Amino acid sequence: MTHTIQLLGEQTIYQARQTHTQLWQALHEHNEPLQLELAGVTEVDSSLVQILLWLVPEAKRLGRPLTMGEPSAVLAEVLAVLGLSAILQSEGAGHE
Amino acid sequence: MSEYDSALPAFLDEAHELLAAMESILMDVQGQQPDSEQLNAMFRAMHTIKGSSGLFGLDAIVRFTHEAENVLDALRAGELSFDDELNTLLLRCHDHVKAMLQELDHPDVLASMAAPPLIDELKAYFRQQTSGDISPLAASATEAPAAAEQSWLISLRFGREVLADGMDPLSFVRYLAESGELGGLQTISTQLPGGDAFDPEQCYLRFELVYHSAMPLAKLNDVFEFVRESSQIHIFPLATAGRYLATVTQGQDEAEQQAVAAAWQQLGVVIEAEAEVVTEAAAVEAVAPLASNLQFAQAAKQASGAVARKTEHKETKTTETRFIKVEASKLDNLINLIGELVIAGAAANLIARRSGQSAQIESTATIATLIEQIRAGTLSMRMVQIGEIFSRFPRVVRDVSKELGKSIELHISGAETELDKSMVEKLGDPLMHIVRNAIDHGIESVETRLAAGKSATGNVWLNAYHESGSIVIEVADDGGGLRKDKIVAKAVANGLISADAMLSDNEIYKLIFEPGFSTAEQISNISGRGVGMDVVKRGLEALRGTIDIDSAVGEGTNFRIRLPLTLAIIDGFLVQIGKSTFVIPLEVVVECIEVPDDLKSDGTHSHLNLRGEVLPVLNLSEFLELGEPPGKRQNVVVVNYGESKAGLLVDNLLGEFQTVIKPLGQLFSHLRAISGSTILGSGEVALILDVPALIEFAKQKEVADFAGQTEQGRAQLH
Repeated sequence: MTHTIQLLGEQTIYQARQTHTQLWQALHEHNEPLQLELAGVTEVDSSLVQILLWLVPEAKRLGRPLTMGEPSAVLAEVLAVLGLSAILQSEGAGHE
Repeated sequence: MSEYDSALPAFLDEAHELLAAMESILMDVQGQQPDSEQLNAMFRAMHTIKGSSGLFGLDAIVRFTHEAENVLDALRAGELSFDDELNTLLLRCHDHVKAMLQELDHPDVLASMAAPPLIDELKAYFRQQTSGDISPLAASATEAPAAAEQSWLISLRFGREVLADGMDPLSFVRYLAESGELGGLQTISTQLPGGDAFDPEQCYLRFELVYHSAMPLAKLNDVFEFVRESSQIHIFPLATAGRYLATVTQGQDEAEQQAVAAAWQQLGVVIEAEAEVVTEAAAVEAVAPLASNLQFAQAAKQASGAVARKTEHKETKTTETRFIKVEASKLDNLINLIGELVIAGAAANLIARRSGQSAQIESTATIATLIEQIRAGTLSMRMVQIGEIFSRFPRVVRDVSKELGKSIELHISGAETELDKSMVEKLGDPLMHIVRNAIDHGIESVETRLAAGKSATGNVWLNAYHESGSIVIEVADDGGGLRKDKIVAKAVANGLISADAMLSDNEIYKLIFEPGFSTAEQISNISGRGVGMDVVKRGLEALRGTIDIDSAVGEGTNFRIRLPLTLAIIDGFLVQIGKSTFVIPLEVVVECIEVPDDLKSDGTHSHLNLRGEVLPVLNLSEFLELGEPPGKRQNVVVVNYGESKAGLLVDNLLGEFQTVIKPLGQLFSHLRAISGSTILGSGEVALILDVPALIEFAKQKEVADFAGQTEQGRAQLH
């Protein structure tokens, strides 16, 4: 069983609190591996980048396997510009 | 520490004044050439701030102002011509010094501001102007739109609140990418906390990026206009960026510093040691003229986190409001007015008391209390700490002792003692003479000291304290002491005293204040020409002060200067002699007693036995030649000044009275016993008695009487 979260539409500072809470709960309240779908993201700012930067080590810390799906073009471009494309490939500790 | 603390406000005061002058000159000359006076004034501003900063060990400010001073010096010498660009640069120098002055409490921040990119701009400008050939790099400095493309290293450390404030760090990167070419970007997120400490609405990001663009620096700066205040933004020419690693990581934790260093390496920046910045900056030929501007440097110094920044702003504000500069004449006017108010208040009080209406008496009493408080408050505004003068002595002692080859240590205490501002200014010279005299004549040479079994290092003490309404300043040394025999011999030789004069120790010592008197066998550069000590005497007399000397041969000398606290208003004690009223300063009054019978019966005896202590008594009516018959019930007011006491015989005691001192006219300036006049509530004039002079007179009379009696005794024996 995998717990899947889909991020959709605008993911900016306005959604940051909610998105973060959702991911925090997913990490703390479920035991299944976490799957994050990013293909539906249409608008991105630094806050989502930060959330991803927080999420990856946090999942590892909690021992929760984490996989991230293919990012939307917008997100992929942002991550590329920031030199952070690699974080999408990172997987949770549980897979090893 | 206390000297530092007390002198610092004066330094800040002066520095801000100089900066303000510089700014107003720069503002005035917009678009035209400054004249030599204006150039000198600007040079002086930087030069003086540099000098004073050096005294306080503020090396960062010294370093920066030195560069600014160089440019101004070249300008003064005509090597540079003044144009708008230089005007702007100098204004930014002014701003930078001002910013540095606000960071005195944060030495690490201050240090990081010593060599801002502004210095490189100054140097580049200097080179460009003096060499006459305008390099393409310099051309871009003048914001030419067609400038060649340049490479920059941009360091963007965003403030925590940037996201919440509606600004997206990403948007800056996007904008840059549109208007130029991103040559690489490294995201640093070491500040991003793990676990629950992460707040998704705070910004933890930092970007280090290489940017190629033809955009002039000023425009590039404008890009970050809105985040500049909360963030640390640095823009450096890529070629020289390597030296600024320490600047951009100032005050940050190790992880972040390492991450930035790694990022810079990734970006191809060659990191140089920070130490090279200062020494080699001038030598670097390929330096691009412009880097970041002052505000960036300001941003850089700010501690990360909005909270820290806010408190910092608050602190700045409080230091600004701690001092208000008021024109001295305004304060003098206020004090004069309060003097009048005191007189008017006393008159109202008198009338109220005569009317016998208790309500009126009460209300005038309340007003009197308030007037008293206003008076005290206003006078305290004029009070400054004596440390202001003391603080210049460590330097003097160091220089003079070096010159003389003596090793001298200066000990300062009581620097926080306050006295009237106008007196502080006039006290500087006399005190300087005494200190120099102590170093030169007081402290012996090292060999003599060692031979006398003393430590090789001589000591000079400066001390100040308040005592019975006056301020006492002591200058002591542990030197050779004053040689009484030498002084007397010299005084006799100079015809100052007769060979058989009987003088007290103190009187002998005071001879050194006579004009042309010097016992030093060798005349040194510093003192010994016999000018100086009489300057001291005159200077102190002008301040209504006195000087006492204690000395022991081989042990040292102690000069004790006693000065009134203020020159304007005193608490007086009213006495009546015949029909005239006199004021005795309350601070010298010890007690009042009825005239003892033995004194009354015999006019020739002018002594009083006060509980076993013999005091000379001065009959004021006689002394002042009032020609009034003595009153029926006379009183003695016991006064003291310094270590001397005396009784003053008066008719009536009228009580305390706040006295505004009105100086006597020139015509009466030679009067020794009267120090001023005042106006009573009733409108009558009362004279203020000069107690030190009266005591001196009473003592002399005592000595004369005693000498006369022994003469008589001897005559009778024969």
